[in-house]
Amino acid sequence: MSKSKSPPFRTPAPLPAGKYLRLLGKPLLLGLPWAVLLALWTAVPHLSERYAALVPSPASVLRHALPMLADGSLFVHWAASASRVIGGVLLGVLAAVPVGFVLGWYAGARRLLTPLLNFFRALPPIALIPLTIVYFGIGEAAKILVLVYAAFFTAVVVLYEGISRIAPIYVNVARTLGASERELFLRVVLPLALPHVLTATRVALGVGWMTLVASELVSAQNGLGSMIQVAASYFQLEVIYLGLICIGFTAMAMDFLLVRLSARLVGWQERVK
Amino acid sequence: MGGIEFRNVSVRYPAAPNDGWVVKNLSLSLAKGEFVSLIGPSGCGKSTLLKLAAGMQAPTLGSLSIDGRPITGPGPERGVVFQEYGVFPWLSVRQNIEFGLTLRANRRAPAERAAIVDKYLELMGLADFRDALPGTLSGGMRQRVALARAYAVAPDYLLMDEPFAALDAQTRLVMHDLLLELQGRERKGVLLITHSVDEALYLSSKIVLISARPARLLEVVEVPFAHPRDETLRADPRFARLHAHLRQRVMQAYAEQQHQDNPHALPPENP
Repeated sequence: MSKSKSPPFRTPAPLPAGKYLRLLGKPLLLGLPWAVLLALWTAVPHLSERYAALVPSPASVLRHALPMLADGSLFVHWAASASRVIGGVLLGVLAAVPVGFVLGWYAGARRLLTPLLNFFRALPPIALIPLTIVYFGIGEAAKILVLVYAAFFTAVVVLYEGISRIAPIYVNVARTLGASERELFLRVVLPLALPHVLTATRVALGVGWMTLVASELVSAQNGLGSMIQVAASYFQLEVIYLGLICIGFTAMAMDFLLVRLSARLVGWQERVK
Repeated sequence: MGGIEFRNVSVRYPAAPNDGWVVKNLSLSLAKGEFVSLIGPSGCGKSTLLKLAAGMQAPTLGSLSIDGRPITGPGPERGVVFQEYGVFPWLSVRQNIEFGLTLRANRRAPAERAAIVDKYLELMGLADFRDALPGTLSGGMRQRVALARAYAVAPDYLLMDEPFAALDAQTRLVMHDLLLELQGRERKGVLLITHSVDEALYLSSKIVLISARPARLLEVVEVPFAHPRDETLRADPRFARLHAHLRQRVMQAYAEQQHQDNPHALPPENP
């Protein structure tokens, strides 16, 4: 009898703030921080004349962007930068995969080569640009090379850390089922390494954008970095802002696509305890 | 002569305490079709014995053979089931069970492969989960997949390292009956490492008691119960008597092992 009198189990009421945010819907919610940022940016030039001179308004950045969009020059800069990043990072990660496997799989190789790796990894790619110009000139190859360098050393570390942590149980299971060394590598180690390859690519992409723009700032006729550099010498703050916005959004989009790709390829990973 | 044979096997890890010996002069044999449980305190070196039989490790002294040939590495005639399942998380249940059959060592034609996989999906109660990824399954289900995968390549022997230790009590009982049923259908030589007296008694035909480290053979107990076995066995007075005896001996070894691992604790009581 007392059972029926006990209060029914109630789920706690959602917080009011949470309710309103949910009413806004997901796309609006995601846009909210951007809207706040845009509002702040719009407000800053109105604060004082000094600010107005130093911070171009969003509207004036847009005014500068429209003709550059119309004549295609912005696209040319963007495409030059984006293709360099994609090419450099792809080559760097591709080179890092076999090295990462060897270092991750053989503890001996790791002990032998890690100090060397850490030496070269610590050198900022930007500091290498002067040498790159001396040895390889200011052509396209030199810029890609700096990128490959940065991507390679970033990716190698992520890769071998990941591969050296592959749980031995899977290797043991495959061996006891009769897997040869070749089958072990292709059928077990490779699938287990794929998530690490994707993570390495993500990290290398971030480093790639940083490195690329630096190299374009020093020596390039096109690309977002050179666009910023040229704009700086004419004090065109609007174009500098435009360049930064393009870099940020492109890097964001690339990362987003990579995350989506990861979810498709290695979605099994998240569901494992 | 058939079976798996340990002959005067000793294993030494130079870094381990007690001079480094974890297994000392141990001999035992597992005949084809025999179900032997190794029972002993945790940390006594039971798992090392399984790794030796699986060929994942070589003994420091002594030798191991299978059906008369020395054991030099893993082989498809010895299936291994681990406590942590080791189910490949990127493959579906079906692909996991099929895995061994797609390797060069025991490759089967696609039609035959499909038939084998279907049979074990059915036997293990996994038919509804054939396309599920392991990440979505419970521990008991994953261990069924691991068991099916080991059975699929038709090994003569199964080596199991505390396969049910990570499962909850009820699931464990269900798995015991499942294993007995499978044994009834296709009898394999089984070496089961366990620390559960109940599990050992319920499943095996022979129980080998292992001492505290270094692992030595303390006692071999023949389990007299006939097959098929079911839950009622646990109520049998002979079951209770053997259970009490084994429990007492295991606890004694356990106390010794505890004393070794933590010498400042109280010394083991002498009964």
